[in-house]
Amino acid sequence: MGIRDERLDSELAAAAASGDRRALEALLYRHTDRIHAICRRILANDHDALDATQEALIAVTRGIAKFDGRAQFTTWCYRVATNAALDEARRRSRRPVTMEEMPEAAHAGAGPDDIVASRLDVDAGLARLSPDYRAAVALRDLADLDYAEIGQILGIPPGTVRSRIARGRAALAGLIGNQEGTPEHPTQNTP
Amino acid sequence: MNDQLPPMAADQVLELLSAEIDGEFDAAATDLGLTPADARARLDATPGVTEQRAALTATRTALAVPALDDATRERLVSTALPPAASDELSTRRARRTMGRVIGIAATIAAVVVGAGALAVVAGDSDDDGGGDAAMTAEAPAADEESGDDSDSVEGDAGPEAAEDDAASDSERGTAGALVAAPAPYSYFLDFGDVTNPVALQAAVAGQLQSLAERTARAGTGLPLTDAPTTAFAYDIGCYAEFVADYGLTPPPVMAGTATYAGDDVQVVVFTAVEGYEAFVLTAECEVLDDQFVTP
Repeated sequence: MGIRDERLDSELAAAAASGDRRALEALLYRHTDRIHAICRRILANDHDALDATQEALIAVTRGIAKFDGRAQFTTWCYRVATNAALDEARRRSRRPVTMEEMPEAAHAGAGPDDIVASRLDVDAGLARLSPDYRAAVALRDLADLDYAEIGQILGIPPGTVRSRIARGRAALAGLIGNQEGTPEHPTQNTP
Repeated sequence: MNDQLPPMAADQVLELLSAEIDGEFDAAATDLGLTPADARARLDATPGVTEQRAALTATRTALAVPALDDATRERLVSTALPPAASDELSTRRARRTMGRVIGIAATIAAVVVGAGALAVVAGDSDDDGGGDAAMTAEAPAADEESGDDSDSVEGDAGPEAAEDDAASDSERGTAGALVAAPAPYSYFLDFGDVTNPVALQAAVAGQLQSLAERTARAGTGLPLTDAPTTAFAYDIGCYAEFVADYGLTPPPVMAGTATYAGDDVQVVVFTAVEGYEAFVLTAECEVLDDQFVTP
């Protein structure tokens, strides 16, 4: 089990930046699940998500000494995670996709309570979005960042963040059967 | 009243609903050129907006990712962290274990060679053989009598005595190895001031060199077989616990007294994979320093 430390992120980050290994360990344990969730939704693939999570944690470890505390630790940390996932997505786009890596299509007969089918449907829905759209949705719904913070991380204006999140949610809602009359689905070519 | 409002485009409805979920409704309305009140009124006038809002809200739940299992989280974090002191300690203990294996192998080899040499010597001179018996019999007694008077012990058998002994070590050193005799006090050396790790390393290296030279002069060819079986000139109850904690196998190669930050301490040296490992201990067996030494 990971170590528990009641200190705030900012306090742990400052200690970790000055070489406190225990503080760094506490920070990593605290945020690993969230980092993984972001990577998982951006990549829509278990294996790639774990790879990206590992890369993100290593990047946090390497970069913590330079973290000056001007931004919130979570914003910085999730930026690192998002970059790791987007890098992984780019790497993946340059290699063939195996059958195991392909998200399955939505299950027509699956009930709304079928968790497994739902999960596959979510992946299928996300797979139809470009990674940038997925990142916006993940940072909002999994990391609870506001539009301004998401815009900072992705390097886009808040209005674009809002648009991407709305379109991402609509695509997802349509594919998992939560919404009748699916709105137009943004694809990888959608701006 | 709402019937008079112009319909909103589907994209606008979608953005407003999504922004509403995130608490960003007012900013979204302004960006669309509407006041928040107007945007709210027009949205409410749009057919099916309630169902659409529920569907969009549900995606948030659908996106949730299960927490990682403990083992995976542990692996990810430990891989990302820089090596810890505890990891280095594990590495050192692994090296010590290898050192023990090598030390045991060396002892076995020494015993085999020594047995051969003893057989030759026994054939040459019966008197020398009697000397061997006397030496091995005396050593344990001297150890038991040591009490707390380590100074007198060192005075009895200093470096000169050790060198004198070396003159006939072709037999005695071998016999001592064979019976694993407890330490004659001459092997409790003075390492001087070892407060500085570099000074400790230099002192240990110097004593190792001296011991190797004496052993070579004795012509036994047996490295350090006259090592003490206990680390101290007087009894310390915690010694066995220290040896067990660090996974060490007695006897140490060398042991002696020293000072550390002005306090009297003990130094014990054990064989390690890449040379030797020297420990600076208090009387309570607290390890003040632990240095690897390569002669």
